[in-house]
Amino acid sequence: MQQALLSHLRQVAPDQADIQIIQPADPFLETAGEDLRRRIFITESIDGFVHCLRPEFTIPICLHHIGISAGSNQKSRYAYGGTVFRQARQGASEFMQVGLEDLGNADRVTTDVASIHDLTTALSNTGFDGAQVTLGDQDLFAVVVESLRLPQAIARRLVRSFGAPELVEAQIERLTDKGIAQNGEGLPDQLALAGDVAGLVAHVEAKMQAGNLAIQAGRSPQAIAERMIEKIQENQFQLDAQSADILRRYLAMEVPMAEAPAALLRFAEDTDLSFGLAGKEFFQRVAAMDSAGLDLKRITYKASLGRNLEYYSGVLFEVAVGDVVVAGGGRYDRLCSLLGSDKAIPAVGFSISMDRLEEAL
Amino acid sequence: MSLVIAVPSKGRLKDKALNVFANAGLQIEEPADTRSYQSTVSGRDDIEIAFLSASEIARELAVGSVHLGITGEDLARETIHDTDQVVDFDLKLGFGQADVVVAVPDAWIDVSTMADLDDVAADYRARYGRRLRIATKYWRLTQNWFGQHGIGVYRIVESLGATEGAPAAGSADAIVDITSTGSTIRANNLKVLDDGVILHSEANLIASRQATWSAELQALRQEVLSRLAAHC
Repeated sequence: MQQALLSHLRQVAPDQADIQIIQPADPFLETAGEDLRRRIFITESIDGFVHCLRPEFTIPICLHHIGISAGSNQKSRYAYGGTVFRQARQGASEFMQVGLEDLGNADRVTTDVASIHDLTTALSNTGFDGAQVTLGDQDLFAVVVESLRLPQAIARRLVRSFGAPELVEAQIERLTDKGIAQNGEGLPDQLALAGDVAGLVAHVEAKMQAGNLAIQAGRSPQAIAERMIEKIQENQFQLDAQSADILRRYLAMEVPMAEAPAALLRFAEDTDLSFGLAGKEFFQRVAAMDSAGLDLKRITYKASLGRNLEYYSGVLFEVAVGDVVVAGGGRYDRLCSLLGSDKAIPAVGFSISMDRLEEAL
Repeated sequence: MSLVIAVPSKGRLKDKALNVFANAGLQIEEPADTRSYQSTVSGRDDIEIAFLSASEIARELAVGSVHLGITGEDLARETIHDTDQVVDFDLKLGFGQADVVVAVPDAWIDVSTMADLDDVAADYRARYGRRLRIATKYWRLTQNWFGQHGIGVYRIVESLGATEGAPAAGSADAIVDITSTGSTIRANNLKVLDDGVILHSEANLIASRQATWSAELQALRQEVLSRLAAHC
């Protein structure tokens, strides 16, 4: 089954990257953070270099692509298949994955749709009929948040939590109920209330000197001062019931894809916001899915579907066979830059979990 | 089979532990041979004493090669995965108190809570080209605590001594470390976050669930526990 899926994907994604099982750990830890360390297998070589057992394919394939596309705008479509290693609380720690990465192609709508199409076609060609796609969009949520004109720090935190519904809801609750916090009497609070950046910078610099902190080493006095002012403004801020309602209503949206454009337009009209370029892209994507022959009845738009990892951008999707989610994918235009590429490399792809697929059988 | 109790082999922890046992009527003999790490309790041939370092005690409790051990809760929670499934914290012994805390530079006037640290960590890489770095020897405690607060994007820099100096040395931005009075933290121009106390630690009598326990050994455990409890 794995071979059948992989050979189908190779027909539409002929580029190959040789991805070793032993990988340098740093790119994974730098992009996904220290939290990942508990879920992967870390090993050290004799010279003290930290490696890990391949926990996934996307990051190594991006690194490969960054290497071969230096100085060019190469477009590649990679199909892959193999074992990945994850620490699970119980049970297996080796999992079989098959997937596809589409890198370097700036035509977002076309590549989004091709990715979803290749995934569903590969599944149906290997005997999995009736796969259900759920689709979300990171950019649309960002537009909704932006339209509320919240203090920047709060807006960033909401966008960052997108994909973790309980975190988003907890923030909405806290912002509605918290009341206006009293600002302190201390000098920094007074300076921040007055918006005195220069005064705050001087105050921070004095503290840094007292602590022997090199000003170039980390957070700059300017950044600290600016965030202090943001924080004081945030203390004064309370989310009004109407804005909270807009966020909740948006996140609760779940409609068949054919009805999604009309539902979004209605929502925009009711709430007096414009989805702008992100909306335009969404509508184009729906039309392109339709003309690519995807069955829109089998695709659901779910506004709350997202991932709270900073490198995702734009479309996200999950595919379920029966009740089991067997594959996931999406757009991650920021990943290659995070991995050190000096130019932006558009990227979209998916991975299929063979273990889940067997479970769904 | 006798009850094996692991006791710290050096320093103040050793002195205090011997003291607590002596007050409870369990006189731990100094080994006749000073190079030996095994000893006895006077008049009790049903108890064996193993002198080990505090962190070794946590490891031996994890695998069950000793029945009881005296060590800090911080070391037990740091060393033993799924701590509460593997050991029982039978008794707080009233010495070795220290807090495991998250501390940031005093100059970070905008950071007083874990939520603030989350905000700072989130765009650290975009601003400074690297992740926020936390110096600590407490990998597990740090990962769990940061995970509980939804903070994933940071890096741990292992620090095996003078952790509180790491921010000034430029090897880390903030620290997770142990402090009893907070004076070392203040002296290094750091401050503990308002909600940054990960653990109030002290020396504990800890029982291993992995060890082999007979009914007689369980009765002995209860005896040791109630004797110590009466004097703590």
